[in-house]
Amino acid sequence: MAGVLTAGPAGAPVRDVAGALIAMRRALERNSPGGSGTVLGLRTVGLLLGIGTLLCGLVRFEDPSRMVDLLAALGLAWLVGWVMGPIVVRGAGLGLRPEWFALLPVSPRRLAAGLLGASFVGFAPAVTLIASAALVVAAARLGVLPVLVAVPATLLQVALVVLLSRVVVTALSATLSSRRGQELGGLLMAVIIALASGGWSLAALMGQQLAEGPTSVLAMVLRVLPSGWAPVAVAAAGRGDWPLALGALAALAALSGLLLLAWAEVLPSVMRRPGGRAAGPARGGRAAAGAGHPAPRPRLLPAGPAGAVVAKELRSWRRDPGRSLLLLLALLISGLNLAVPAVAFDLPAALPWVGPAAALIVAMGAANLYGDEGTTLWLTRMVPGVERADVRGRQAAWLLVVAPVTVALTVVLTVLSGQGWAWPWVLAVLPAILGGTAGLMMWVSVARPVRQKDPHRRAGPFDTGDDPNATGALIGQQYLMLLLAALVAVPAAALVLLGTVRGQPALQAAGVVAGAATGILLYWWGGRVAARRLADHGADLLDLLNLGPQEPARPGAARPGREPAPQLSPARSAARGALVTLGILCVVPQGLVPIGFNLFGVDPQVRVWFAARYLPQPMQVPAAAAFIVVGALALWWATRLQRAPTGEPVGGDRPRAP
Amino acid sequence: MRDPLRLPTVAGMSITEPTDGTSALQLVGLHKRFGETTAVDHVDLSVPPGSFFGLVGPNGAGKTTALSMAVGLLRPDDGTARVFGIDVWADPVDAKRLIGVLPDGMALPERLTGRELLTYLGQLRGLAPATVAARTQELLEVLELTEAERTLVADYSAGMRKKITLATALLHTPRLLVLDEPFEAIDPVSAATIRVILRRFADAGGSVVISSHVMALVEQLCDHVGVIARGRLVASGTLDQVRGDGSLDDAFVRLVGARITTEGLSWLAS
Repeated sequence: MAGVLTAGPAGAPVRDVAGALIAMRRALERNSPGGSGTVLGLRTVGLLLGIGTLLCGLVRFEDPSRMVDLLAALGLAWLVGWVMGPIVVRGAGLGLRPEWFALLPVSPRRLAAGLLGASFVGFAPAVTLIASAALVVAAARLGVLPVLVAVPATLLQVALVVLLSRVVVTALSATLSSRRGQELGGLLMAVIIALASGGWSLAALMGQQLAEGPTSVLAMVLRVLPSGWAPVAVAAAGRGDWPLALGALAALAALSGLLLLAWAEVLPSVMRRPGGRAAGPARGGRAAAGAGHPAPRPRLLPAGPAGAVVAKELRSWRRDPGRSLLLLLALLISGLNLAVPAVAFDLPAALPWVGPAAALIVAMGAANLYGDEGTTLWLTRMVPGVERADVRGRQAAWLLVVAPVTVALTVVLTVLSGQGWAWPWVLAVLPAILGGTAGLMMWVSVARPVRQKDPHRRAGPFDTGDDPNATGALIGQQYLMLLLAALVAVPAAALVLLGTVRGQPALQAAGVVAGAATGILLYWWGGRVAARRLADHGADLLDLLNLGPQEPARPGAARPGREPAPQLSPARSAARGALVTLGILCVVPQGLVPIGFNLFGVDPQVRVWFAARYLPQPMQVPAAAAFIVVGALALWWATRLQRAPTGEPVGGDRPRAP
Repeated sequence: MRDPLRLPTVAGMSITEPTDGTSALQLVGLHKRFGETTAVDHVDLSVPPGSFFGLVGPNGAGKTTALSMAVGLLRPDDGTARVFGIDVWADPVDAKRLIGVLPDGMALPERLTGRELLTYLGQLRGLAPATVAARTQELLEVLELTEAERTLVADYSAGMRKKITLATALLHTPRLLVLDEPFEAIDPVSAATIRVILRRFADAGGSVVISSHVMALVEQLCDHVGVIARGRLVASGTLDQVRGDGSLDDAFVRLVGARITTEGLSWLAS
């Protein structure tokens, strides 16, 4: 590092350049959406992950090759994080972009050294160093010489991830500044969210694979990838296999050198493209043409207002990553939490539920239709008497997109699973969820909208705007919708349950009919109420989306806005994030999943990271229940933090500059 | 504010006011506050039918807020807005048939192409498909958006966004056009085209209200002018009444009480 920092003709200027760049990056973080609270929250999570990885170095294995498995898998996870993280972050407008400095009278070489220096200084590299030090911790049990190998291996591993991240992000720079880049960031974000919620099943699968020993394909892959070279070197040193140990270290150093050269190669080409924003119209042209519909096709849909809304909405679903990612996310979460465990732990009973679960999850994000579109509502407001068509068209389009996927998934997986008993259940529940959501989402969209940044000002599909309270409100709205969508299925499910318990197929059939009836009724009712409210209070809705929550303009005027919630201090914000994470972890993977495993009689050897499964059999369910209680307490505490006023109220009076 | 150009505001009416209620646009006591800030302060304004009206004012004077309330996009705290005698807030459906609006800074459906946007809007307004297709084609051609045929609105430049929004305002042949900063970010060629379109529309009996802070443009286009400053209408009338003997620029600086800085950045000249 010192060599890099003093690479310029004179040492001090490079250090100055690096110092200025570091200060600039801090300022960007400070002014980022969500401000220092978000950054602090992310850092807390990062630090916990770093310490967690470090502690993994303490795990004792009978077979040292298992240690290599673990450390190589963790190394790969950190490497992927370093490559994906900046892409996601760039979507949010953070991070330094080399092209900003193209006009500075600083030589590219010196700037390159400064940028590199800046990327090695900061919180993320420090946390990565802590995590990589797991190698040293693990080596300590193997002897003095392995530790001597582990120290350079740790440093080289950090250099490798930082450099690889730099090269990838710089090479993708032009793309990342464009709408495509934002969409890519959104896609990665969706994958991260899905992994956070259902990654445990993949980890379990990997664990099973690795249990087969170092000859398994996965074990080989982990060792061959550069992220595995440092653990391989340490383990080899422990065995006294010095050629392999030193070879692996040399390979790591050589690869880092190559990445440095590659970065020096890519950087100037990015700098020559000041602005860095990819040309809009030409690319967009391809985007639209790529979507395959340069002009409205001959109509399959009825002409007239409702048909126009359906056609417009279907195009949105196809082209707007905010929409398509929602569906993808629902399928990923449902698949990871139900389909993967069903296969991995031989639980075919879970398969029929993949479709209904996906429908429930996609319902969560469906209920902010008007909020998501921001002030676009003005167009609808200027067309006289179009509210009913707008609402009905949106409902129909939603069903046309979501129903085929979830119904097909349910039918195919129920057939494949061979679970004949599941038919009345899924046939009763799915129509209720789909129809109920299509109705209730319109009502929630109109009656409890959450104001979002206007679409053309967003930095990516997951950009919820600068108002930290909007994110909280949005999460509240999503869970409200999840609850509503689940509740509408209860009457039909209750009938099927009764029929099952009493062995009366007629009651089960009644449940199926009740499910369909619930769906149709709520579809009709929700749309009707929403259309009426949109016609009567559309102006207030537009005011809210345009200006944010306002004090009531006149007595009697409807107030779609909520009380402006107090802004949380960074520390409270971080604490809230930690509590929510803890709560969800305790309730779902440590609570509900182990109970589900016990109910369905999963092999007791399947323990993965479910703490309760490591206890004696009779203790398992009570322990899992205790986790649920703890998790619920954590979530309750988090909502308390949300309410406690600690700062200046925000969001109330922010008129747009007239 | 004791300027000779300040019009006699008997019951809030300006002197150009035909009081029989047939004004193309009539604002009476329009008022809006955001928190502690009064954005529009009891504005009275009348736009005679067939006139080309320019609403001018410094940045932040309340032009956008006033026009948004006038067309039914922002609910006023007090006052009324009438379009050809129809109350915009009491009878929005009838009023909105008559208006074409270009708001400033509002979002558009980002994932549609310009043609798709116009086609769907025409359908929503219940126009016959053949009419929609013909008008859409013509609007795209005139506004030079046909080359961007396959471009999503998300990828439009600021000027293209203005033009496609203008097209949405013209699509249904309104009788009154209310355009907020229609020439901002527009290239000179397109601006000339838009001027011709608007002039022709006014000559054929249509009424146009534009807001702008470019005096030369207003002087060239408009026959009536209103000056708004700090939320208040400080002058309104025909162009000649408002500017008097001097230029509109001079009148404007005098009316809004602006001070032009003559010093500063000494190091730049040294």
